[in-house]
Order: sequence, then C-alpha cells, then structure tokens
Amino acid sequence: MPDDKPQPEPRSQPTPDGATPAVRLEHVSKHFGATQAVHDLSLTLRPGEVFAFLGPNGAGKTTTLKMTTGLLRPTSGRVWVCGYAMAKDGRLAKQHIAYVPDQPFIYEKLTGREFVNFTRDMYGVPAPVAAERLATLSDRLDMDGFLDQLAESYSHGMKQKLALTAALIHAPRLLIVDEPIVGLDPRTVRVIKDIFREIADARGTVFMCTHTLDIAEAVADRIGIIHEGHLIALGTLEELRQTAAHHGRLEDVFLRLTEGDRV
Amino acid sequence: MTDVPAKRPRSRSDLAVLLRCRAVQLRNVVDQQLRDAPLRTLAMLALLTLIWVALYFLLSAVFRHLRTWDLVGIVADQHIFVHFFLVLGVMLAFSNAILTFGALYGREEAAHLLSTPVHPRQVVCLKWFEGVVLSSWSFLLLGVPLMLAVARNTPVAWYYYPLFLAHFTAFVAIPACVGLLAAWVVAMWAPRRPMAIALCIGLVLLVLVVVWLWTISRHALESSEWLQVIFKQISFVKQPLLPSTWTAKGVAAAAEQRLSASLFYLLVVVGNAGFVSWLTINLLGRHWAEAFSRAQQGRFYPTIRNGWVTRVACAVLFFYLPRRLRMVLLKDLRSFARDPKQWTQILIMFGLLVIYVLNLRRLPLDLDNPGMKTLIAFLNLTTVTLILATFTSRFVFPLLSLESQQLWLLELLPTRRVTLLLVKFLFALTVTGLSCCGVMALAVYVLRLPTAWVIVDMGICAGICIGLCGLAIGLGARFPLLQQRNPARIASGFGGTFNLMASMMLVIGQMAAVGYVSLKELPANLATLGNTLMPQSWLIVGGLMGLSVIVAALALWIGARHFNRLEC
Repeated sequence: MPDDKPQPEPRSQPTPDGATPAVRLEHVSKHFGATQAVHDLSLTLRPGEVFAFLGPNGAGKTTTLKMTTGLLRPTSGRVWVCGYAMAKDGRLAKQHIAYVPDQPFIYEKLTGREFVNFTRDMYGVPAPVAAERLATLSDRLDMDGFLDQLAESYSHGMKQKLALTAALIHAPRLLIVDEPIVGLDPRTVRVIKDIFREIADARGTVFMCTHTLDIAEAVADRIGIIHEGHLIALGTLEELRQTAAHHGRLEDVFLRLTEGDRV
Repeated sequence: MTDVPAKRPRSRSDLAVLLRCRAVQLRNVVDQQLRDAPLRTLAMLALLTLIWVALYFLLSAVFRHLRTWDLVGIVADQHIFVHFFLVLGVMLAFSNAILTFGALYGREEAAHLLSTPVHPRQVVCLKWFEGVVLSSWSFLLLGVPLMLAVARNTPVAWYYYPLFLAHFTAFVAIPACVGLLAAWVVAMWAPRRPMAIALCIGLVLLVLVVVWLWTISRHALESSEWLQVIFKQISFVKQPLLPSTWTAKGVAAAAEQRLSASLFYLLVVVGNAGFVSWLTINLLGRHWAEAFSRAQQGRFYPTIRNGWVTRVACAVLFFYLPRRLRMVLLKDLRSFARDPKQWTQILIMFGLLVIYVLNLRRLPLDLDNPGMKTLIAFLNLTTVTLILATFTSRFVFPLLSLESQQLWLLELLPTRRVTLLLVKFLFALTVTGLSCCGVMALAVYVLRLPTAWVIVDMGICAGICIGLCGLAIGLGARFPLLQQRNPARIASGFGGTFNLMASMMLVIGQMAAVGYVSLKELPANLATLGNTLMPQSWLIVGGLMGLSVIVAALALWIGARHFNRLEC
C-alpha cells in the first residue's frame, strides 16, 4: 500500500556545496506484492553531474526511475526532485524534469514535428525558443529526413531520437533516461554523450539507467549500482574500483560487485 | 540546455493543448484514410449508411406494428424509451469503463502524460470528453433512427428534434462518468486482473438476462398478451431515480408536444449530469497518480509451471500430425487459450446459440410442422455460419500477419512455409469446426431431423467451416500487414475487409442454395419430413460442399504462393 497519509514534507536538504539537489531519495522502498523491488534506497544527485544507475535485470533500476518521475509511489520513504517533494508538489517538480523511457511513447498519428510542438505547449515553451532548439537538435541528431512523417513509420532508433528531442525542448534541469542508446547508430550515440555532458556543464543533471557499461564509463561522473533492490555501491569510477578492490574496467568492477565469487 | 526557464503562458490550459493534439491526430487520420484508402473509406461509410437506413426502417416498422396492435399506450408509457436508454446506458458505461481503464491506468500514453506537468484533472476531463464523444456515436447510429422512426409514426412539433438531441447528449454524460468511476475503483482496489473482473461482470449480467428470459418464456410465450406480460415483468426498470427514466420521460414528453414537461426533465438530467461529471473529474483528477501507481504495481502474471492441459489437448486434437508440427500448434493453442479476448467472444456467441437451441422446444413454434422444422433448421445454419464468418475474419485472418513478424524464427524450423500455412489452417479448422459443428449437432438433435436432413445440415456446416478457414488463412497470407501488431487493425485493413466480404458472399451463396433445396423438397414433405431427398438435391448439396473445399484450396494456394515469396 502506498504511504498516502498527508504529512508535512520538509524541504530537501542542500548538497554540501549549498545547491538544491536535483534528486533526493530518502529511505525509499517499493514493494510489488510480496516482491521487494527497491529496499531502503537513499541517494542524492547533484546539479551538474551525469549519474549512471547500473544493475542486473530486475535489480530495481527502472522502478527507482519511475518513482523519481512520480509514475510510481514509494511504499515508504520520500522523493524530492529539484527541491520539490514529489508526493506533494509533483506538478512543480515535473515542470523541471524530462523522462525518456526505454520504449518511448509517441503518438503514432502525429508527425515528429507535431509531437515536439505538443511537448512544447505542455511545458509552455515560447514557440521561437522551441523552434530554435528543435532546429539545433534535429541537425545534430540527423532528424530532418523524417521529422515531417507520421511517427507510426519510425524505426526504434528514430523514435528514440524524437523522444530525446521532445524531452530536451523545454531545457529540463533533470533529464531521466532509461537505456538511452539502445538501437542507435554510433554517430548518434556520440552526439547523445555530448548532449549529456553539455547538460551537466550547464548545471543540469542526467539520471541515466543503463546496461551499456561503455556509456556509463565514458560520461558518468558518478555511478550507482543496485542489486536485488539494494544500493551496493556508489561513487566515481575510481571509488567503485576501490570498493570492489579491482582496478580493471567498469565491466569487471560491476561483475565483481554484483556476482561476487561467481566471477 | 538549462538557460531558459520554462514558463507556461496563462492563456493556454493543459486541456486546450490536449484537445489540440487530439484534433491534429484526427486530422492526420482522416488525411491518411482519404489519401491511402479512399475506396475503403467510402465502402465503410456506405456500410454504415446501410446499417443506419436498415435500423430506421426496422424501428419504423416496429412502431407502426405497435400502432396496429393498438398498443400506442405502451409508447406513451415511455416503455420503449426507458428500455432503450437503460440498455444504452449500461452498454456505454461498460464500454467506457474498459476504454478508460486502458487510457488512464494502462496505456503508455498515461505514463507519458503523468511524467509531464499536466494537470491530472484536465487529463481526466479529456477522457470524460472522449467518453461523451464516443457515446455520441450511439446517437448517430441508434439515436437518430429512433428519433426519426418515432417522428414518422407520431405527429411531433419542430422542437421535438432539438430536444431529443439535447436529452441524448445530456444523458450520455452520465454513463461516461459511471465508466470512469468503475475504472478508477478497479485501478484503486482491484488492479490485479481488470479484464477478468470485466469478464466476470459481463458474464454475471449475461446469466441474469438469460435467467430472466427463461422466466419470461416459461410464463408468457404462449399467451396472446405476451408483450404486455413482458412489460409488466420488466416494469422495475422504470425506477423514478434512474436517469434513463428521466430522459425517456423527457423524450416522450417532447414527442407528445408537452414542451414544459420535456424541458423540466431535460433540466433534471443536465443538472445531474453536470454534478456527477464535476464530482467524477475532481475525484479522479485528485487520485489519478495514486490509482495509476496502484494499477501498475497490481499487474498479476500467474506462474505457469507446465501447461499440461494445452499439451494434452494438442496431443488429442492433432494426433495425426508429426511431433514437430504439433509443437507449432501447441504454441498457437497456448496463445489462444491465454488470450481471453479471443475465446470469450466465441464462447459468448456460441454459448448464446446453445441456450437458444436448448430452448427451441419451449418456443411457441409448431416444430411438428415439416415446413417450420425446415425453416428453423435453415435459420440455425445461417446464424451459425454468419457468426463463423465474422469470427474467422476477426480472429483467424490476422494469424498469418502476426506470425510473419516472427517469420525469421519460423524460417529456422526445418519445415516448409506452406506446411506452416496448412498447420494454421488445421488449427483454425479444429477450433471453429468443433464449435460450429457442435452447436449444429445439438440443433439437429433438438429438432429431431431425419438422417438425410442431418447430413445436409452437418455437411454444409462442415463445408462452410472449411471454406471460411481456408479463405481467412489464404487471404491472410496473401494480404499480410507485417508492421501491425494489433489484430483488430489487421482485420480492418484492406485484406481483412476483402476477406470479410468474400466470407459473407460464400455464406450467403451457400445458404441461398440450401434455401432453394429446402423449398424444392417442401412439397414432397408436406405431411412429415421424410428421410429421403431428390437426387438433384443431393447433387446440389454435394456441389456446395465441393465448392467450399475448392474455395479453401484456391485461397490457400494463392496465399501459399505469396507467403513463400515473403522475405524475413
């Protein structure tokens, strides 16, 4: 049962540098019946960082992302996004975030441009600003060829590009992405890595959940590893290496932390 | 990317943005239909017009007939309107509940909208509006013929028409709200198996209706005052607190030129519809996020350890096939058994037919009369085969399109594609053949038909089964929709429509020939239905069965040729 009793929500604690955290999860747990998907997870994401959330299948990554976006309510614990309590001020929090799921939703009977315009209107972005951003993103992600076709004709990669473009049209302070590069060509992957970095450089935050360890290794400032609902490691790649007592690639560190002696 | 703060202009509400999005989608759909398939669009409109006109004449004939019976009092008592609006309300509430559950608590769109700063109340408002618009289809299809049929048989004033429209529009908002509330209750407190709950409620309602019809038929069917007895028994639906009663009274008052009474009831309905809409939108808007979350975490997928029932059924039904092909069929059988949308429809349709057949002897029909017996047998065969034609068009035709999406997987099997086509045909034939021939066998047993007529009925039924399954599988392979995953959309595409028309033509042609045989045999069977048929009749029946087999073979051949050329 969700924790639905009305209770006062304290403000999110600032990060050590005094900034409001982009995400703050405090003792968050989530049960699906008898299954415990996430157990007592506490996590703070700072402005200006790319955070990669890793874990085996069914570890609780997507559930955590969905709780952060407000799609799922935690069984216990609290979620703050950009200083707003998700349970109380969800709409204010969502004004600052963008979420791109692993299977992005796009209205099939809209063209790519119409879908972006719909998102623009939902977030109240002025049309000239949105048009400029769309032109830039379309050029970088090589979308000009299909932007005016109905989305039902798009491949998975094209849908991914469009969903990311729509997500970025309102310049979110927090971008939450689930498996951002599945089905994308190497050039687009490179562009996306660059975009993530630019968001972080502009004091935005990227909260990314992925199985592709290469992208995590390449762009993440910090990495969290979740296993069977428990956060088992958190820190920079170097800190994870120390935790795992292994100085190899992220893949080896990840396997050592999640598989232990089985590796 | 975070340089410009996102500010929403106050002049544009979320609802306006959502409505604009819907309007653009609608425009694109219409454009696409007119550009890609103008003939199909015209054919669909023509078919709708045909149904509409047929309904108008049917209703008009009913009202005229009632007048000849001097039963105008019944119309004046609003009985017909009360039942019409009550049944319509229940149907709309049920369909709205199912659609709303998918739209607000299940579909990807709900998750997408919920991750944006859209106001939940305005999303619910959009769904309410969509429910009302969807319900308004019932006005175009059912309401307008009813309105005109009444006007044709009753002298009405000019304001009858706008008042009818106003009453109808105000009324349909109420079942739309009931549907929204029902979906919310399921999402909040019973999210584990929403479809199972919907099916259970549907089945309970069906059983109640059947039991009630059974009770009616026991007491009143042989009475000359049958209609009055029925109306007396169902007078409970005229509860003064039901919105259908208010609307019915309002419409009847408009028809009887009692303007003030009609306006009074209209205000009652509008007031109640407005209040319940306001309440529903606010309540659901407030709890949408929580209900969505509960619905997502409530999804229940039972553990299936071995599936022995389907394995045994497959081994028994398809014992004559090699093991490898039986495995392919086992996959199809399991997909069929685990998709209630498929088997519940066939179960309900054929279940109703079984109930009807079991009650044949109770109906006020002279079943000892050979003419009546032949007529009833003919009508039974026509009903069963027409239902089968719609079933194969909706469920069998998409099989190949859906399979083609995993063609690469099947391609790896050491089996020819044409064999796979035949396996699908055998699967469809077994399921539909057992259902149809089972119902027909029961019908001929209840009618106590002589052996010769049993052979005719069962032979034609089996032949049509073969023909329809062959058509659906063959044309499904010839006109596959490879990118489409929705079976309903596959069935409504060009190939599906073509298959439906071909299936209907096959059934109508065969039944016309059976009707001809029955009429030709009638003079020789005036006293009792004999056990012999004229040689020409046997020839025709044999020809019809042969024709069905040829149609199936031809369709399968055409389909196989195209299917063999398909690339993964």
